[in-house]
Amino acid sequence: MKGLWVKDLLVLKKQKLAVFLTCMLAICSLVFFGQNGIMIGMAIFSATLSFIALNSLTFDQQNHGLMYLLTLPIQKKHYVIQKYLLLVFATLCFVVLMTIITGVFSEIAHWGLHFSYIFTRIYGVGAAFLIIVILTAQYQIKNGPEKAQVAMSIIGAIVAIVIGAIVTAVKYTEWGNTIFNKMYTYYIDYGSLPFVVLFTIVGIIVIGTSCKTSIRTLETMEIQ
Amino acid sequence: MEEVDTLNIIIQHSSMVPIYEQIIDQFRGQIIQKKLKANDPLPSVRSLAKELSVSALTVKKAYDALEQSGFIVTVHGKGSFVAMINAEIEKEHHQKEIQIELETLIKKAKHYGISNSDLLELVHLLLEG
Amino acid sequence: MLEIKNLKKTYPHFQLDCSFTIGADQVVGLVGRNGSGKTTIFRSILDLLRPDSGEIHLFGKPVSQLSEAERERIGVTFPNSFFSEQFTINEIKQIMTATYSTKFHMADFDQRCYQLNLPVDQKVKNFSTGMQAKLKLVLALSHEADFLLLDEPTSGLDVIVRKEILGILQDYLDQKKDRCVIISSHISSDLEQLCDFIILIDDGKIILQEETDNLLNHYGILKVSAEEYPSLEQAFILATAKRKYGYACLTKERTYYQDNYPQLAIEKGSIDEVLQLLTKGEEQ
Repeated sequence: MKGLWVKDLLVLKKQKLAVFLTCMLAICSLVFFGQNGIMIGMAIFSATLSFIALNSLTFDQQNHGLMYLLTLPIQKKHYVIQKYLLLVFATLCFVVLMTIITGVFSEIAHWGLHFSYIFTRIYGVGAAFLIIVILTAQYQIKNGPEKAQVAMSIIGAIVAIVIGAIVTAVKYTEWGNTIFNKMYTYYIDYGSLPFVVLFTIVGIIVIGTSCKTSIRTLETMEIQ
Repeated sequence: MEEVDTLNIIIQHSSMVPIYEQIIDQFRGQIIQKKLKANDPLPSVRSLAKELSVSALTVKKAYDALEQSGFIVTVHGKGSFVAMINAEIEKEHHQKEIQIELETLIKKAKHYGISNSDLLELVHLLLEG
Repeated sequence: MLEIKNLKKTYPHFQLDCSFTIGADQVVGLVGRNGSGKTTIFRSILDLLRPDSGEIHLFGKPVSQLSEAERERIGVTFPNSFFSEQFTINEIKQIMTATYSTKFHMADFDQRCYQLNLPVDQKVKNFSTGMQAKLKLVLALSHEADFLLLDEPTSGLDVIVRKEILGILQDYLDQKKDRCVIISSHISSDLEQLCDFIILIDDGKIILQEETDNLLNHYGILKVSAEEYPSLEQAFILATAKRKYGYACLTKERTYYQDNYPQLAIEKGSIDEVLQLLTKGEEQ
């Protein structure tokens, strides 16, 4: 597996310009959008992350590259696991990075924001995008990078619609409002930790299932 | 241990004669003519195969045949070497050469219609003279 | 070293069904038209696809159960699949070291690249086809592989580069006994010079398995006119095909016909001729 990590880190290194620009963009979004910029900045970060991390998979798959890679002494199982770990770690790094940037910014701009406030929002956005990326990766492993780009847009659109539906339900329906208020009260009483825990559990279930499915796909499909 | 760089093994791919036979003949010739001396190392099977553009199996067959007829010895792990050629083997080779030429001569004589007894008479005459 | 028994795989357009064995210290050439099954066989050996039935054993174990240590002993080249061409040789070296650890001989590899004029800090996509082919082979030979599977390693290359590549391969085999190679190629002359055995495959079935030596030295193509044909001894004829001049007959006993039919036109056996005859190729 070590070889796979070295390979993917080399791929990521090739994209450090993109990462740098995104950092700049994220900081700008904090400047221009104030506190709302936290989530916008994280969204930008996450979107770039998706492309960058998935690129490591695209890199492998281009020009029938997966055929050659899998003749190296690595197990297909390990290939999938390493890819998934890469996506998860990359997301965690960005979450930490964005939290630090925002924290520093918050001090400088005297927003007086609580750590858990910043962290929950960033973690939430990061988790949402990670799930999109994981599902896209699963699709891409099976169907190749070209189709995956279409799939990612579709998945992204679906997630946006779901979020939109939730927001609409909260704002415009009785029961939506009630549930939201209940959750908000819960949040006031117990802090953001339960939400973080909830995200994490959901995330682990989704990632774990997706990983298992991808391993099975790779082991049974014809690789060309 | 030095390889024999100036090995002049020449084979013709286009010839109808099987290649391993050509290799055997070439080596035998060189050994008989003392161009290759006893204990001289032969090139490894694969390096000769590469040089001659033939498969290693072909060269191996030739080396096996050469060893069978006593022209070379193979030491496990070290390679093949020219064997001590004793007079017997030389004589055998020379006799074979003469035999082949005689066969050609006899065919020719038959072709011209010269009888066996006439031919034998001719040979006796020449041997006495 | 490699044992294939009753390998079967069905596709909509053809069916693969074959068996053969390759022992240590053997170089085997696989010849066949495009779509005849060569790539399918290779991918089955490398566990890139699961056959419908049959067994493939490499190093004595089913290929799907090889450990990572055993898979380190395999070296592969494909004509159309490799590391991403965005990588440089230096970067590939890093990946190889991390994958094969001590088995990857960096010093030898560096020296080879130097001898072959392969630039180590340029992206592979800037290499010519010949340079890419050389790199692929050198990489396959850089980690003490005992089993080499080379799919069209010399395709698209001019004769000088091909000689170079075959030379590199032959030197590698000379270093240590008991290595074995299976190589596929359309360039029959390359195989005739290198391989100990030739396997001809057509439409998913093996139509000939023979020592190269026999193929070149004992097989022959008899060119027989229509008048001569009826009186021709059929006992040693393996296959016949109609030709404009009459018939082309394949035999394994060239000398028999050379001796008994001295006026008959006889060609030496060659992979191309034999393949054409056995697959009933059309007369050009």
